[in-house]
Amino acid sequence: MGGYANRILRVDLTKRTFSEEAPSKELIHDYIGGRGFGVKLLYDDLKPGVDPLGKENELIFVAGPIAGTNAQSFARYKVFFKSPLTGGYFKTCSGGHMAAEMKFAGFDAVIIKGKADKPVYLWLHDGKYELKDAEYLWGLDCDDTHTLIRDELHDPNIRLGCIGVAGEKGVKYAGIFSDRRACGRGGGGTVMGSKNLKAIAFRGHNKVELADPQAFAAAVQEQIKGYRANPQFASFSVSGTQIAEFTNVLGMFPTKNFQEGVLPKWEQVEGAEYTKLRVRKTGCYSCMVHCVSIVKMGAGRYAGAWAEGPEYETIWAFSGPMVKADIGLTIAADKLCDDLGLDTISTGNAIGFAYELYERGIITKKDTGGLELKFGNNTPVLALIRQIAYREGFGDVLAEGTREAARRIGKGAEQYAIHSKGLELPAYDPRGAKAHGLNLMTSNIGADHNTGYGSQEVFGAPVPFAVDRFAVERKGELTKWNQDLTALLETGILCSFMPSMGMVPEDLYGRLVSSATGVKDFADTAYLWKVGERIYNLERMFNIREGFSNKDDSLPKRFSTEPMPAGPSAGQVFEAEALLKDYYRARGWDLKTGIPTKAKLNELGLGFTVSK
Amino acid sequence: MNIEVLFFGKLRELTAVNRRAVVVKDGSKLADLLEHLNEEYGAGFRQQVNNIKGLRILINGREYTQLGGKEAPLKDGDTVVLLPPIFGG
Repeated sequence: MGGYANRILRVDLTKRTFSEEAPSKELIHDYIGGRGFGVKLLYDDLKPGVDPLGKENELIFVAGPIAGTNAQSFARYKVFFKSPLTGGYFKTCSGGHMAAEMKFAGFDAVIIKGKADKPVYLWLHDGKYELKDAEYLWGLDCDDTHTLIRDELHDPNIRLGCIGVAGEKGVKYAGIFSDRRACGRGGGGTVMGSKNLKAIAFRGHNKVELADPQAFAAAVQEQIKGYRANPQFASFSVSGTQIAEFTNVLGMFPTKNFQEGVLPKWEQVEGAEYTKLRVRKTGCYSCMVHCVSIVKMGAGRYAGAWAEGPEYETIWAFSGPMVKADIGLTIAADKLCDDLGLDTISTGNAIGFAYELYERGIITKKDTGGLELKFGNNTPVLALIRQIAYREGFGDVLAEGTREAARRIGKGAEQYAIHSKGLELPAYDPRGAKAHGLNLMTSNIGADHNTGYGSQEVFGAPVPFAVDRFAVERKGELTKWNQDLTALLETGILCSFMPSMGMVPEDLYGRLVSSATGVKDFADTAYLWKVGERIYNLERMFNIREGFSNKDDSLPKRFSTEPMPAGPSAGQVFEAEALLKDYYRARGWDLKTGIPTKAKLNELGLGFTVSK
Repeated sequence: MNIEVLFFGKLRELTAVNRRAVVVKDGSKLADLLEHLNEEYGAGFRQQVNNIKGLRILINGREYTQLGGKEAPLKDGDTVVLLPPIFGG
């Protein structure tokens, strides 16, 4: 069979043992790879109720069957685990070069459980594997960790994912960083730290074999032609996601901890301003889009500050929450989070939460160690980021995530914690885009925009149909469509930007996966959609098994009860109840409980989730 | 009546402004505003507006296609945004 490395590695850090297995025919046929492999392996392996930071939790690194080929935009790897932030199923994803190197090293997936008795890193190369001492790396930032591991192994081309101080200290939203690309969300880095695992490093020279090289090459050529002909290709190559103007002109760029939707002086952080600071462009393995920028401040308070990115979410995270359009601070904060190993979205959201508590008098300077958290004053931001990463001062509370921090603070703080299922909301106000908001509300991992991006509302994409972003009608159906499409395209694993630009239609995707693997069913788009829905429902059943219910499909009351006060989304509320009911109906789930019906599960081949 | 117009991408290069107020006759439609801009900025602008596949136009934050297309009515104080096609997240 082509595409796959045909090797899944299991590592027990406690026992320091390794075992190999090949992905079964059933796993391949029913789940294809990538996100499909991840959810099925995690569902089968974990008993319900395991402590996310305990030895029994797993970290599963997965590369897709297309990774390492010359197909475009399949450079992503995913990591799966039970989240310390949400208590439920989690998937996190990143581009770069890791996925390709995993395949070259000979692995489709690496499943890690247990806890090492002292810091280690995992070294996987050309089908071999070993644990290496990482005591000398403990406490180092992500950049230095990359440098020292490459130095130790005498190979600058090694690709690795590592944690920074935040992961070591147990910050609940610590990420896994690979060359400044982050599997940022949900605490994958926290789980890594709990296992005393500083890094996982790959290097290899295997070639990804293809079942039908000719058909695959033809599909890749079609893909490249399609990219060049697509009007979004040129513009996205230039701007990447540095487009804060898009949500500001829609009035849904969250400011004041999601109280308002337009950032004053937002023009100072729009794409054109970042373009002025661009040093060069860069991109992922085998992707001609090159959407990423390296930027550097030339003058001012933050002169010399540089970062890879910042991407849209990070541009928001260090401007909107504290209500200050300051490009220098944003770049410096982005770099600091990358160094320390923090998810920028949750970090910025948590800081905005602290600002609102301070403004409302729920916390004072006594709590913040003298920091004045007043909207418009971004001076405390870098200090707060460090405090969070090192769990010092008030940062120790914020390091728990907003849900748990609010519980500890009390005094009504809960209503100002802007999360869903414990995961902090990203840079979109649900009142301005109802399907996008519905995705944040229902996503199996909490408020994650990439689980089912509402590009129809945010970018005006007319596929599968054009929408009024404020309307409630058909938003359940649309959200299901976005979520299932994303799930099916993440079996490959295709970059999530491409489908929203119409650059890789499902039939082309099917031909790529089918010709690479030799599995004929993968060329059938109806089959692909079924796999997408299967993956989505299995993720749901993982959470149901953990005790999640319809009550967890929620957003903060603010969005339903406080109309957007001003701007292009003025007067809008998020019609949570109607939208959720519409979504459950579209999903074929029980309208009251939100649990997939037996009929739906059987239809998707998931009967085993209820008979166990 | 006064319409606030925001320009992005190539259109900003052609107009050399990020945003400006445009005075049009009472009762004007979006098509009238665009024609006003075409006349003011010339052939390059007209070509961009007509040829950018997926050019997105927002009237007070709503897609013009949801408001009657280029026949969408305008009123004093409206904001019109002309966005090039970019998707992402």
